[in-house]
Amino acid sequence: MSTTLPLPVVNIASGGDPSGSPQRRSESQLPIHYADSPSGDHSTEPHRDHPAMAKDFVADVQRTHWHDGALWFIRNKRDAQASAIPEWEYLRQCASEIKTEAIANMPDLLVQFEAKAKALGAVVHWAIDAEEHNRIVYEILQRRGVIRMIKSKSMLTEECHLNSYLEERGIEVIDTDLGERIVQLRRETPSHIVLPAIHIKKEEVGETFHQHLGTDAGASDPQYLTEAARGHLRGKFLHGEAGLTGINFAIAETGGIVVCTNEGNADLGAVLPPIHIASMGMEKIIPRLEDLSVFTRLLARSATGQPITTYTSHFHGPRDPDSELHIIIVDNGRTELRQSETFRSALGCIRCGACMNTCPVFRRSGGHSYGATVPGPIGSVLNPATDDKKHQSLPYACSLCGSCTDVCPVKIPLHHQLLAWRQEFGKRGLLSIDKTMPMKAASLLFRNPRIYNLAGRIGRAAMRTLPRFVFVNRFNMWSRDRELPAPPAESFAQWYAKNRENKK
Amino acid sequence: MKTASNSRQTILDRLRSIPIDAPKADPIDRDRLVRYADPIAKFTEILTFVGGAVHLIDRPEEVSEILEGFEAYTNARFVASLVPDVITGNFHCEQVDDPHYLAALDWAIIPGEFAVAENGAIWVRPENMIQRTMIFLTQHLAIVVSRSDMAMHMHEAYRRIRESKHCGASGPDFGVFVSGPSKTADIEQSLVIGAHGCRSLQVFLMP
Repeated sequence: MSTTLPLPVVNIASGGDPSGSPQRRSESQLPIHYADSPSGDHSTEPHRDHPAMAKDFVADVQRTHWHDGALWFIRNKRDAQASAIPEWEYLRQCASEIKTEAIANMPDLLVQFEAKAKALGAVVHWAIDAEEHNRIVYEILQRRGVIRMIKSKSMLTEECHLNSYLEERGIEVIDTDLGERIVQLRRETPSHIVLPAIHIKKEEVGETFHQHLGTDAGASDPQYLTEAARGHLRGKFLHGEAGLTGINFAIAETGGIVVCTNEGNADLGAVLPPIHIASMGMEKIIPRLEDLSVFTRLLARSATGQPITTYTSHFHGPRDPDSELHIIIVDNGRTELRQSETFRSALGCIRCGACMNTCPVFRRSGGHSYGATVPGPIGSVLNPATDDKKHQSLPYACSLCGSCTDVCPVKIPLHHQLLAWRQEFGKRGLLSIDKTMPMKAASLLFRNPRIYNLAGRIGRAAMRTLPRFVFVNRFNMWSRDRELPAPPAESFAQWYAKNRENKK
Repeated sequence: MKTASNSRQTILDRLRSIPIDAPKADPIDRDRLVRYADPIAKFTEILTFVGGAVHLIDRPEEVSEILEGFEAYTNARFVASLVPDVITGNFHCEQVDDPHYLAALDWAIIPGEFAVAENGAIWVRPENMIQRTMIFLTQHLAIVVSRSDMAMHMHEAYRRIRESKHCGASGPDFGVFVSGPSKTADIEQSLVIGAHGCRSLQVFLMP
């Protein structure tokens, strides 16, 4: 295994960019996504659909190939790890069963978790929506007069737009995960749930750090830039008055929470300040301590192709009697998702990002094209549940190849759910006329063999005789990026009649 | 505006409005799990792969002999040891009451409870807040752990944790699986060792 995955610095840029010359863009050309604009609920600008936003990304062909290669590299690392475990498929089955049980028994498990966590000295809060979550965090900080909070990676707080909420109220929030810090300094949002800065080139990180951290102009060596961030963030850690972390797993049986990181930032944020706030979506609950054995084997292998994250920390109660541990359980649309038999299993997601790394659409269109905190296949299932009109284009950002379903460590049938969303949109009357009309026409055609044959004859004749611009023009979506095939001389039915039927 | 207790009830009511039937997940079938003929070799392979270094030693004195070979150790100003019978440090953390003082720490040498062969992880249980901070704030980390009783995989690891009554069974506590030095690949997927936590990890496998 280790022969195919050498440890020394692997630079995907040299592999993904055959020209070897990193393409640089000026600041103004970059797609800038402000923290509360593209996916924000209070956005005033019109929401753009997936094809429109993907267009920005794919306009730079070199960058598209580079991004595609970077994610495929991680997918390959995942494959190597998965195949090194003989019982991999058995583990996925177990994980799926545990999550199914946890989703079914969610109310009882959450109550059990709350009681156990309280007994260990934690304070447990419940938040119906993002606003309430943010208010709870703010009130905890305000009560203790905190003006500086250090935060490790938490997609839930991105979903709730916590940073802008706290900054508007005069609290400085420092993202401490390196990738998140990069996007925070650039005033962007993460484009991937595990690899927040996967869309940014090292030269661009160098420019950002030169501006904000005073690194040398033009420096782009990842080792040098990471060292600079380490120094910069150590100072922030030591001055943080409160730390906020996400939660990977909450154990109902023991009242404990588990946080998985590679950088050690979540742990520094949780142990240095006297206040530790941990936010969790309610789907993070698992029934038993032993269930962790399944998930800790699957998570990092699926996410980044590592055997396990560098740190897998188990917190049971606050760090000492003088400190506080606050756990916030957030709903924000999850109960509604749970009501739907079709989409319920998507709550089993452990946020590994494997479906993104393997998705041919995600790899080529970038995470920002989804216009949501959680992008990719799982995001395309989750987001329409909260706002079907706004996220209507997402289930179509999919070729139904099924690769996401194959790699999902908890066996969520992602591509089936994406197809189910399209049917759901039809039932809800949300489809636009350019989708419904062709479907109605096709239905008519396939139900009437005579019309079908006639249409075929006219089509073949038209393609042979009429000029090219009749078919290849800006109104034909199909021919925009593709060439039409040459018209066949005869239909299949004609060929069959000639070659087979009379030879019976 | 809803009050906190209201939100709790509202969420639980919503969850209980639709009863969902699902069977309890089957317990793990141990016969289906991987077993390594040489768990020590597997552990060494994996930990080396993730950037750690493994030293098989027979005498406790070898820890300091090996550490003396590292420039980062001989140049260290502050060394803390939680395994005094193996090595002595010059930083006395029992006299520190604020974890922020640990920022000056160059090396920490700590005991591990047990090692896990499949992923190169070591279960570490610091006793208090200062010891807990030390693991993450020190520049370099060394862990001393027995090799005689290695867990094959995480299923065995969690069984041991349960049997030892850790993880909240006897009041508030903390435990962490450590596997390798801290790392990041957030800049163009280039792996850099030494993110926020330790820059290097030395593991001493004692008999």
